[in-house]
Amino acid sequence: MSDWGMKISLPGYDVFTAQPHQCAIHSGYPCLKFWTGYRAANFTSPAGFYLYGTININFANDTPAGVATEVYRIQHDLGAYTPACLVRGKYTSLSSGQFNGALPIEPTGTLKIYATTDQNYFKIMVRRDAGWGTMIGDTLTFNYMIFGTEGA
Amino acid sequence: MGNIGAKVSRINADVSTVSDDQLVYSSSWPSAKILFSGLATVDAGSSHTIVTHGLGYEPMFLIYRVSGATSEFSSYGSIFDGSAVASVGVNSSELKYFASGFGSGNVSFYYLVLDIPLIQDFAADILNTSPDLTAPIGDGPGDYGLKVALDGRSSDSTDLRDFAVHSAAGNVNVHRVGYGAATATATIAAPPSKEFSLSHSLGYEPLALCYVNYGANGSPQFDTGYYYMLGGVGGASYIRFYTTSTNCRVEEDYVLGGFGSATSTSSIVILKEPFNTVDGYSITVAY
Repeated sequence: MSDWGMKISLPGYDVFTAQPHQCAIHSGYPCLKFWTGYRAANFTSPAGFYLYGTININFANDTPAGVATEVYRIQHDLGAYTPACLVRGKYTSLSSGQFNGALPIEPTGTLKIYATTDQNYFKIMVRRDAGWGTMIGDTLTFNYMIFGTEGA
Repeated sequence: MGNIGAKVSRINADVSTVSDDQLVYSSSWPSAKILFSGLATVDAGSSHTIVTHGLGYEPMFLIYRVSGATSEFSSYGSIFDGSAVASVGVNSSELKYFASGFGSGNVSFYYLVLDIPLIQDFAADILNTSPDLTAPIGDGPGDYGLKVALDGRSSDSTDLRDFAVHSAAGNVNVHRVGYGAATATATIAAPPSKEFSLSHSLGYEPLALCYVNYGANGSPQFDTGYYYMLGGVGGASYIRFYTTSTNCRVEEDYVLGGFGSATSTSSIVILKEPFNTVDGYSITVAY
């Protein structure tokens, strides 16, 4: 970019020579960011949902075997683009009660839990393959952050 | 840091008393800035450079596998609907796709390369170790606060993509970055299992990500010298990554093994974001 804009360097770095990773803010590069006060529409909640937060899903019965099944969705209303997201989760019988780094959980296992986005929705998907057993009574807790930047 | 610098709080939060999770940014914290992004479509059956970043350091990255109009958040570029796994890794010069059990055909990824070096020791200050995670977040985007538009974009835009900074939005701010070799520990059930951990004193379970360089022990989809993002339980090579309210740790499955090589290096990036629970919600689903 040209030699104008806004830079705030981190402590110890000269703002005139600081590289982007040595800056708190650099207007030449967009921060990874998400609306904090904005509530998106949601098919389960007329009040809408923030574009980041925490959801608990309790499974009253099993998802269909061998089929990718949507278990939750948020209409993000960000515009005509597919947003990037960060999602992590913990599943009752998988995570020892601790959050793991990021979805998908068990990407090559018999219970796959993952997140998708498209131009309208953020979704949590589950695929229960043969060999997993039952999900009844289990809980999936996930944290999500839907960004105002493209993820596709 | 001392009482110098600049801070911008979220809407309705008092900047002089605010806790970490209510700050848009602080001049003592690096925000995750997007250096490179784009869509790559490659032949799935062979390895390809996705982007030559030339940064001279290993940057944090995120990958999204694209299928039609849908994008899947893919830690380590896994493919969830089959048994094969491909991986995307980074070194100091490039982001690269590594094929493993894939057949022919194309695979598409959207990538974000961020300006957070994975190999560094960084620790930000903590403003408040007992934050109120249920505090109101505030109203939606309004005509006040701080906005910095990107080059050529209008500051009147309502599209978040047009801004470097927007005080109605939260930034992904870095709390701590650390790296090191996994070492044998008695805290896992059956030594010589190994772990590498990074503590924090945030008082909540922050969002954190882990990247591993498998060194000389890398299996075919994990080439020496590249860092790969770890996913959930049972992830790559039986390496697991957990986040708690006191630390973040990557550990080897004590039965299946995983790290193997003493040359493996793990990098953990702990972010400030606590996933505010103000909108915490529970549902029961049935099929």
